[in-house]
Amino acid sequence: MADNSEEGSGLIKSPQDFVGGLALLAIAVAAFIGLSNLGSMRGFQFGSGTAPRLFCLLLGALALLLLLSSFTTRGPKLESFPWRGPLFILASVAFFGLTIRILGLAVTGVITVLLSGAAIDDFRIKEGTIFAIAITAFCAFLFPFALGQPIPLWPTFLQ
Amino acid sequence: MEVFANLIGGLWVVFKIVPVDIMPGAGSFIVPLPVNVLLCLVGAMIGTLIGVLPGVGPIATIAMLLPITYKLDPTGALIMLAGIYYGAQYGGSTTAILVNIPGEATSVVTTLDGFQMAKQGRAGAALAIAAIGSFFAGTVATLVIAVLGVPLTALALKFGPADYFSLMIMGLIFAVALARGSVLKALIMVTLGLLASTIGSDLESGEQRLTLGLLELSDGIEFAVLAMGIIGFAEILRNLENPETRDLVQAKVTGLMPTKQDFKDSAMPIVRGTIIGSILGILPGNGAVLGPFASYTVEKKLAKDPSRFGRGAIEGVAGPESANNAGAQTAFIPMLTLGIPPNAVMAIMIGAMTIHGIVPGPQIMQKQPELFWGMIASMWVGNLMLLIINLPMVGIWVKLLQVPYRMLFPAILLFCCIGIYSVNNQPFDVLMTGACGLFGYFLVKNGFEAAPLLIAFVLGKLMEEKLRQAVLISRGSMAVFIERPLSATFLVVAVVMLVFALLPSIRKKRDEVFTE
Repeated sequence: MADNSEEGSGLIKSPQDFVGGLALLAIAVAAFIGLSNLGSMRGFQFGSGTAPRLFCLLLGALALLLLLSSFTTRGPKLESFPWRGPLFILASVAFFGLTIRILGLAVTGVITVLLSGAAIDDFRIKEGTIFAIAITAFCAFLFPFALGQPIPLWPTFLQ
Repeated sequence: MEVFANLIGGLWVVFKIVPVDIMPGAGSFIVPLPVNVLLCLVGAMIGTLIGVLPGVGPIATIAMLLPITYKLDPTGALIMLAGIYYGAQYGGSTTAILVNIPGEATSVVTTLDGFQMAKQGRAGAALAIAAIGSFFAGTVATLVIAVLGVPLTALALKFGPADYFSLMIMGLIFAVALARGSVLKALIMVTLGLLASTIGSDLESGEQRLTLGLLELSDGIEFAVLAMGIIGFAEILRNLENPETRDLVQAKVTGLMPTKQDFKDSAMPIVRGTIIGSILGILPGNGAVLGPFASYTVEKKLAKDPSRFGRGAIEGVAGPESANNAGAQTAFIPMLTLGIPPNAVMAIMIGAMTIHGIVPGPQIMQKQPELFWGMIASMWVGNLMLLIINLPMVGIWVKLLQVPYRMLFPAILLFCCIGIYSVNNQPFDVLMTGACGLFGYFLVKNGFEAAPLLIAFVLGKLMEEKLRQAVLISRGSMAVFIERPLSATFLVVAVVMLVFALLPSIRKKRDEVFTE
């Protein structure tokens, strides 16, 4: 349990619950709107929208409960969101997804490893590059070759 | 007797020799190999490896390796995934004893006395007793699964849609009650998982639900994408926040053999731990995590001199270690016989089955007896291999602790990307995993646990189907869920469990168990 100094004060007593409840309430509302054009009950038969709407309502109700409880129950403060880790990790994943078909594993792999490696503060470019090349070579052997995955290895413009 | 016949049949599956193409990427090179036993070994080794490496958990690893298993036959794939799971239990206790770091949540208790023993120069004895206890527990648990499998399956086959629906509700409530932290938040995660499972084409009408017009989502969210994103990537993001604070203690392991007195002291704790772990493991919800705590408490209570505990009492290693392995294995029972995953790892196993076109539930034993008994027998074989291989390899595992996380995570990330991409050869899946990772990180940061979400996601489609059927059969009456005795029993148990979880006094106790 967190000690008192870490807990929220003022109007919102449990900031984590507040933010979480709010976000999930928003998801429930958005999903409910997204479901509006789907069929509902026909006689005893479920429509395509019946079960999802049921889950939506339940989610909305529980999220609202959490949101309200954040005004009465004390809980831990919001944690800080460091930007560096998520930014570089997500950038490297997105880079992989966007370029794997064009650049192939040989190029995409190295850059992906380098980008993700930069997610920590004491990133060392030289060590990182050597490591990126080594690990990509290993993957290039393991996946397309030994495991027979149909993953492009070289850039399309070289073929 | 039938049990043994089945187990021997299973062993035959495990050691079956199959012609394999070992280099599919470079022409054909066909060699006869006992594939299943090799996969079992590989799984157990990977499991030990990740059990040793802190910051890389079994859930994330299994999620990451899921795509690779797509190319294997389902029996081999599940044998390997199971190996990772129980291998991680062994690895986790190794680091708990040697460097005071519980590699896995289930080996937290082992650090109390195990590390003390290591400090006194008795690391070898602690490791050996942990391994022997685990092996004994694994053997008993294998038998328990084999014995309970047949009757439970027979029972489950009698379930009507309403019974099944209520059983799944009960399973989810157990998962909520035994989850860490707030019950309300766990409930929210369950409903979110159910909602997420409805994304994609409707089973009956084929209408697109919540797909945002994306063609890639018409089959729903790929299970591997969700699991890897929300657990695997989120874990990496989380780990990056905490700078490494690993003391690299180089414990010298000498004298692996425990003394006669050690054996005498550990025999009963091993037996008791096995029983406790087996029972708790069967419970839906993450019962296996509670096993070691319960066992430790029992041993301390029974000991003539409780003050020895925490100062290197061998009973404090033997009991909990047996309990965690027994629990890890009996957790397969609800998954294999009823199709209800008791924890996130089992949810991923069910995901793996679904991907291979196997419908989880009681029909597995009838339709895929090879898979069912092969998997159970493989657990015993895997435990035996771990016992033989692990102890001599302790030195190597300790060395591996020195691999810094800054080299580990980029490699893991690349593996994940390649794995996810090769599921459907879809770049979209990779991007989606990234998005799930960010969302999972948000959840962790605000005190939500992802495991209930994953379990609910796996059960969601089946739950909707059973709910539809039940309501249709009863001609629109919701009373069917309380009129059928089985269904009513499940719902009552679920309600009682939920009430208990919400009671303040019990909640406090539960928190104590988790923070101890």
